[in-house]
Amino acid sequence: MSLSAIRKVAVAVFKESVRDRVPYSLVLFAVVLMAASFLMSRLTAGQDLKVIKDLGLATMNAIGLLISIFIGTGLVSKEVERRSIYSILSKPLSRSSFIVGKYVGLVLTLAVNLGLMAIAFYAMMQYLSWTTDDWIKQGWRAPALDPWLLAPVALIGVQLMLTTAVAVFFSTFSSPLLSMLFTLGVWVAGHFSGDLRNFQTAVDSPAAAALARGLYYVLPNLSAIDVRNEIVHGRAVPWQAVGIGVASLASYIGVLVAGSTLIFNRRDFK
Amino acid sequence: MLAIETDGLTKDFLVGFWRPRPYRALDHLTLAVEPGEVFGFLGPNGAGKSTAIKLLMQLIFPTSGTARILGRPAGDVDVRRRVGFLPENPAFYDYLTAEELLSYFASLFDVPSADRATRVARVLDEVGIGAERRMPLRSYSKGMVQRVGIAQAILNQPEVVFFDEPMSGLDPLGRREVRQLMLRLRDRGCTVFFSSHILSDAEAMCSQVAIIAQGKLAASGRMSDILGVDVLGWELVIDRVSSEALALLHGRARAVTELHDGRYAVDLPPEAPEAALQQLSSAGARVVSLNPLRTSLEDFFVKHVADTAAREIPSR
Amino acid sequence: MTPATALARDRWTAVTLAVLLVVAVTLQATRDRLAPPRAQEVPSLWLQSPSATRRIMLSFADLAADVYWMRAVVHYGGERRSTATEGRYALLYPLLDMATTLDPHFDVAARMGAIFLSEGYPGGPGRPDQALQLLEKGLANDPDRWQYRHDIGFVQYWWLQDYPAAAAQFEQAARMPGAPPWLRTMAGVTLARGGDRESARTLWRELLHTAELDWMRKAATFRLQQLAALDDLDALRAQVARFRGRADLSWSLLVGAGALTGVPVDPTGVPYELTAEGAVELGAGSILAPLPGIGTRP
Repeated sequence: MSLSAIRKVAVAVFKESVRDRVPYSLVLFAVVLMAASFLMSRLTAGQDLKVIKDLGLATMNAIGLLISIFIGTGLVSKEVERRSIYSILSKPLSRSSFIVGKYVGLVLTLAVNLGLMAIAFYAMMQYLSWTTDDWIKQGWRAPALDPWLLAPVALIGVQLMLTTAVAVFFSTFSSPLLSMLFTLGVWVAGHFSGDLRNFQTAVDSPAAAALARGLYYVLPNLSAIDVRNEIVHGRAVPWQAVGIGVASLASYIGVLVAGSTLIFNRRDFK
Repeated sequence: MLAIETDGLTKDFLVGFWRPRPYRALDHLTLAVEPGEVFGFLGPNGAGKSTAIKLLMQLIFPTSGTARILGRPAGDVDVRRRVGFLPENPAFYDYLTAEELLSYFASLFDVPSADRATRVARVLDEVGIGAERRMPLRSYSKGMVQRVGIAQAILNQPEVVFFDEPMSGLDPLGRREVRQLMLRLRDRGCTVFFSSHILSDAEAMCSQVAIIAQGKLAASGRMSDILGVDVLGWELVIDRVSSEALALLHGRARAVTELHDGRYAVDLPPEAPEAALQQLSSAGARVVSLNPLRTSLEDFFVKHVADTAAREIPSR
Repeated sequence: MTPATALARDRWTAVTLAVLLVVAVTLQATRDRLAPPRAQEVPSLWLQSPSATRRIMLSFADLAADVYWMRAVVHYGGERRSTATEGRYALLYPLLDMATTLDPHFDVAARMGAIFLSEGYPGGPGRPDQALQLLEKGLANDPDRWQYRHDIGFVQYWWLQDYPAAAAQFEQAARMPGAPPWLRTMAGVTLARGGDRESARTLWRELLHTAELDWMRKAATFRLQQLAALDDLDALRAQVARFRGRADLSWSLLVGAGALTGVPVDPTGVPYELTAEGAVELGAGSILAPLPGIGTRP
């Protein structure tokens, strides 16, 4: 595997995403936020900031997830279907470099998009801060331009790195549609993780509870790194637990990328 | 050191969903290609030509047997720096322009960025892509895509080039240009390995051919051995044939066929045809064309492919 | 087909399309007029179980909580203006319960929701018990928020008139991290003087100065005006008593006699009413009515 080859493939993936007009999702994001803030100011009884923060983070998460799943599952299968895989794999780069480069490229795309969305997000909150009276602002538990908001944004990024790794993994051997379903399934399961752990309280069968426990440890726990509620409410965050959660997800990502290279290295491209 | 060699190269594909059975696409192919040769890899459609080339490029993995390029095993990443490959019916990233695509590939070959633009421009000139090089590939015709494919195959000034059906999609002018390009590559010392089901191309260029049918090597050899230099006869086409001329012909010719508009095709024996020509002109006939008849590649091909098919039938 | 005929064909197609659209909309409107949509059913939530909803919402629970909160605000506002005679505020508690379960730290929803819920009919459903449920739930999720205890105490004081319980809550709140010192004062005042006007005034004054929410400040101002009106009525009744028995009892008589400088008005500017029998009440259109039961003892 060569770092320079990975870099070149990653940049190519990023450029393709720009040509595919992925950044237009930013426009969607900005429009959603602005429309929401205009429409809802009479409905929130002074809770505008909280709602904007929740909406902004949720929209970033949703848009990022869509990008990650739709593009991630097509990264390999589109190339195979288009038959452009023949000309690229005949070049002096290893298959591992190629697939890792594809993954890194999509992560780069997501990072740039998230970054731009974060800028639009802060701009929106600054506008809200300017147009809100001071005595309402007194009641805000966290400020408008809260730098800590970057933490949930970054953690959304980590989550998306995981879903992208899942998507790429499935795309090395499965059709785009199935890959999308599997990836979405893993994302959903990652949020139900907590319930799996405590399955014995819901069901009587010890065997089922043991199986659920096992699944809990095997599946990535995405809700463990979700700090949105704490940051929006200005509450303390258990950083150590979150840090361990991130490290655990990083290991999962490693497993998935390694698995992707393993499968991709053995595949016949007829 | 051989440029390309294979030893018992075999590929089985598993076919069928419920109970997959092996289908032998390539059966113990053993080849040797000397450096600097133009090697024609011929066979009917579905014979296994693309399979063999893909095995050499490690796009698929052999069930058994070995393949080496420039002395290194086929899967070696570094040897691909010295190799070019044109896949059959090539497709590329269609949102890129020809220049961008080649520039990207050039970067993968570690061509320094200062030299990239000139290298890309030179290669595009060589394959005949003009101002379209700045338009996205999705707007290209099939012939233009083929030219881009050839361009990316020779971009790295390779020592060995694999062309899988290089003439497909090209008009007669394009085919001539590709033939000339392949000969230029040979002149530069490059080994050209190309597959085709069109024999006239091979006949014109190859020093060696291999014929493959139903996954098996049917025959291989030097073109000179296969074709022989002996003239077996002459094909003469004449018009303005008077009855006097016709009478002359019936004595000398092995066969006379009327074509159209007063033209006749005449099959003359191998002896020098000058005497017959002189007699015909004094009889008022005019020569349209005169071609020597030799054993053709097509004869060779048909004979060997038919043989292979015949051998196969009892075992099925 | 020539370009001209193709253009004509396309024009006709566009016209047909427009006509069909108009027809469709007109038919829809006509149908609505002839058979109006079924009369107001009791509105209900599609998702009934807050904890199940929390699971379904996955990582979007906070946003869902906001949506339920906004629905609660709209519902409350709508119901206050409604003239229906029964079934009002039916969704208020379920919506607030949803919002506070989906986001267990949504203190504003719990605290303002408690105010909405305790407000007496017709300004609210008059359910201080539900208000307490909401606040207790908030406290369970955020045991260090003294504001919850303060609000619980307040509900018990003002709406349930359970002074010992209220005092105990204020006392406990005063011991919680970050609690302001006047909570202890409130505990003492409540215990000592229970439902008298001064303690009530103290409580509302504190709320006015410390409340983070605009709505709460408005509520406090309103209550203080009511208490001021009670003061006015006491004073006026004392004045009127001196003229008891007079047949021509009216404000002008008192003004003429020098007892008053002008027709007395309540803190919102509406004149007080003096009946022929000598009773003094709030003016007919005053928004301060009905005056609270608490604080009638001076």
